[in-house]
Amino acid sequence: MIFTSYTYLVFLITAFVIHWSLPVKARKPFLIVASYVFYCSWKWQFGFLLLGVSLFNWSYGRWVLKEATIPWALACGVAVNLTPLIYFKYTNFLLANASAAARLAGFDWHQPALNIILPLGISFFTFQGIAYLVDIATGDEPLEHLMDFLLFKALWPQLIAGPIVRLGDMRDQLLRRRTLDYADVAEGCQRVLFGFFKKVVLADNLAPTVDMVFNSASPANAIDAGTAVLGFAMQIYFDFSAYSDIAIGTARLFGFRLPENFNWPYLSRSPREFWNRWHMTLSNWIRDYLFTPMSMASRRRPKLLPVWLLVAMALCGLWHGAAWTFVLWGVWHGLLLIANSTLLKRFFPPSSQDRPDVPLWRVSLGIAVTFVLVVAGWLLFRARSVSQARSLLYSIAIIRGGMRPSILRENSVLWVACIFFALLAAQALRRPLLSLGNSTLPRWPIFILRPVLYTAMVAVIIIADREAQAFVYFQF
Amino acid sequence: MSFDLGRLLTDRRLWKGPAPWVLLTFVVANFWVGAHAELFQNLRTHNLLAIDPTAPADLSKSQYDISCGEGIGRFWQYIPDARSNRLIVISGMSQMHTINDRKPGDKLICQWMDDTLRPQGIRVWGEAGPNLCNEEALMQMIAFCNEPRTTPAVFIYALCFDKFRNLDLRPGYQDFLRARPDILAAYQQAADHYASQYPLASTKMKSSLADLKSEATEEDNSFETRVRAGVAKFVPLVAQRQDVNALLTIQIGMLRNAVLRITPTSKRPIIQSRYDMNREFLQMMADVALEHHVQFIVYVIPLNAQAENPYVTSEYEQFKIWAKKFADDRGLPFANFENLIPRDEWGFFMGGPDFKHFRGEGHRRTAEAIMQTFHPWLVGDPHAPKAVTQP
Repeated sequence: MIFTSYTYLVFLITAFVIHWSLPVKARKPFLIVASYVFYCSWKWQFGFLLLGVSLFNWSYGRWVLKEATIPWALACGVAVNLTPLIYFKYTNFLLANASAAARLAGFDWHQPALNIILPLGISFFTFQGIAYLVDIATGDEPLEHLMDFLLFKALWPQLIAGPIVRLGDMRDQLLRRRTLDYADVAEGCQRVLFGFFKKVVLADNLAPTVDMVFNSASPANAIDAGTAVLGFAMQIYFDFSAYSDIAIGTARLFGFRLPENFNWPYLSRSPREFWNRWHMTLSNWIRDYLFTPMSMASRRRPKLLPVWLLVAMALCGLWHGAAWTFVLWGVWHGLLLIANSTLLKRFFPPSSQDRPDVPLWRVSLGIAVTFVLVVAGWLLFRARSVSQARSLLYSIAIIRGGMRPSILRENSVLWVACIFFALLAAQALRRPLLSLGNSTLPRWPIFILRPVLYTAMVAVIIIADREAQAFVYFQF
Repeated sequence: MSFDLGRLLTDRRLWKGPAPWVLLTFVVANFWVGAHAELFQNLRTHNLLAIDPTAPADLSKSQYDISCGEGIGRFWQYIPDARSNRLIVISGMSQMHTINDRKPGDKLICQWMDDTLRPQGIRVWGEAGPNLCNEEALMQMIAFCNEPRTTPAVFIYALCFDKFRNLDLRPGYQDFLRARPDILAAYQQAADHYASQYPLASTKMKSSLADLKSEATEEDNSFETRVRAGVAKFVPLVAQRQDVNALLTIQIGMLRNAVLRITPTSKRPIIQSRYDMNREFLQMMADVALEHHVQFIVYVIPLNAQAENPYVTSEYEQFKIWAKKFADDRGLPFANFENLIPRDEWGFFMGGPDFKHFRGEGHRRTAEAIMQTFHPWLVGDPHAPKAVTQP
């Protein structure tokens, strides 16, 4: 059941009405059942995997980590969480690399790829499980009631592709009584609508152009490669932030507040700021559960910090997908972060939160350079192989074919350019637009504009719909 | 039982906020779309150049796919039975199903051919579609050759240079493939079989198949389809979304043309990779035809010499040389009808002479030229030269 399907809308409305009509005591069990129905609608067998992982983490946190003082208890718990992820996601990758290594060593050993289906959301619920165990091991109180934990783990808005929700984000919300508030419903509906628009109208309609180039067996000209990679930079942003919007909006309809995942990432002034604005719950997770423990373990050797940063980012890349292109993408961002804090420290302006008074030209230059570097990373991320990434990069570097496309039609190039300029305009005008609601303008234009805008968005979503395309992040 | 929902419904902020107005505007918009549904359909048909006032009400009397590919599945059953007739299929782009300044008695190329050849036990079926590209023509050929009832003796394909810029299967063909797993499998098989011979075309076919499979094969999607159909019954905007989408796309295209000053004769240079891919698709068509013992015939379409066309002259010349060589190498019957139609048999389009679509006389003349030039192959003369495999 994809978020942007009609089926999901029916499910959401039904769940909303039933949930808020039920007595308070019945709401949590209902949400758990609804979450499992949502998850099992894709492949019911994997519901048992989710249930098994949940039961393990709850009991392990409650009876092993809280009570025991065994030093390796946490490591065992983490290993158990990682086992399904490694099996489902990385077996074929490991086998392929082992085969390649064997061939290099002169052995004639080849293991064909196994037919393993990747359970939806496994990367996300594995990270959530690990974070839970680490939090318990470092002093947090585990959730006492199984019901609370099952809901924490399975709550469907965040189950498949985040935001990666931690115990600290949810504990109070799980324990207190939630009420139906107009402000929550209004905000939730708005976020769901914006999510639908970004996914159905923008991301899904950028995808064919991007796929055309990356799936082509022909060499691309510079304009094809540039359009495709710029298109993908926008596609993945709209796609994933749309998912987050719908997730956050859906949760809000049921009285939950999930952490934000995106904050205008392409306005980042530096690679460092980018990771504070892009997939924020993942970058926080990587920082808190991977980078910090590694750097703390070697705190007497600060020169190792860049190495740990590189390792953390490479693992972040590998988490996204079992391929070397993802690892390289992670390494690329690791290098950018290292450069950001060393060689190019003075080049990139500090973030707007740290220093709001930086000259505009410096901010603009920082944003432009960061954007180009991030987009170059997306090339690695989307490429089917390292050699394809190299070939596309080469096409751009030598401006192969001049301004003439070799794969895309001119319309596709124009479409991507239009979306790009629209995004630029939205970014530039976001403050004045957001402040419209609080401005001294008479209320009536806003009163009229909002319904017209929302209705237009609904109409465009219906008209532009390409029938519930899967989200990019479902594969991770 | 909880009263939370009741409290929400009686919350004054709900009624003072945008929600009721959004609902009201949406309802009004739907009424408007519902009231203009026929207009939207007509505009879409007009855009497809699929207007045939003489189309029979009884579809079983059809001589060609009147939907121009949009509803190919609907017309598939009316293809003359190749087991009891000698079947000729003729396919190509909009030139073959459009008649400028239509007069009573005007007929399309395929209709002229069918009416002329029918007494000899030969039936002709037209399967043209607007902007038909070689990927789609290949899909048609694979589909036709998939069962004895529709396997033609001859497949005639009209080569149009600017269609070598196009790729992808149109939604009507995608729906058709989804509804016909046997043809889908044959398409997949061809993509695999010719992977090493035609890597560009094969990769594209696999990509098209991947799109098809990702869109609608899961059980969830069949439920989704039912939900959508149910919603469409009550929400006209959902029911008419494809028509409205087509209309909006045309408007956006016209806006683009106005802003960038694009006209029907603005030069459209070849897009090399697409051109190469379309050449591979054409070559694969020749192989598939040979494999199924279908006589493949190609001809270069007539063009209006008096009208400016959007082709880059040098590229078009190279194309014609390549097409001739392709046909010669394969032993395929080939003709260049570029100058076949005289000046007064062409029509007008967007205020100027139409470079590609002609009047009824042009259709008759083209049909006669095809029947005359390719006569031995059309009637099945055993002495007609046979196609050969790729040299």
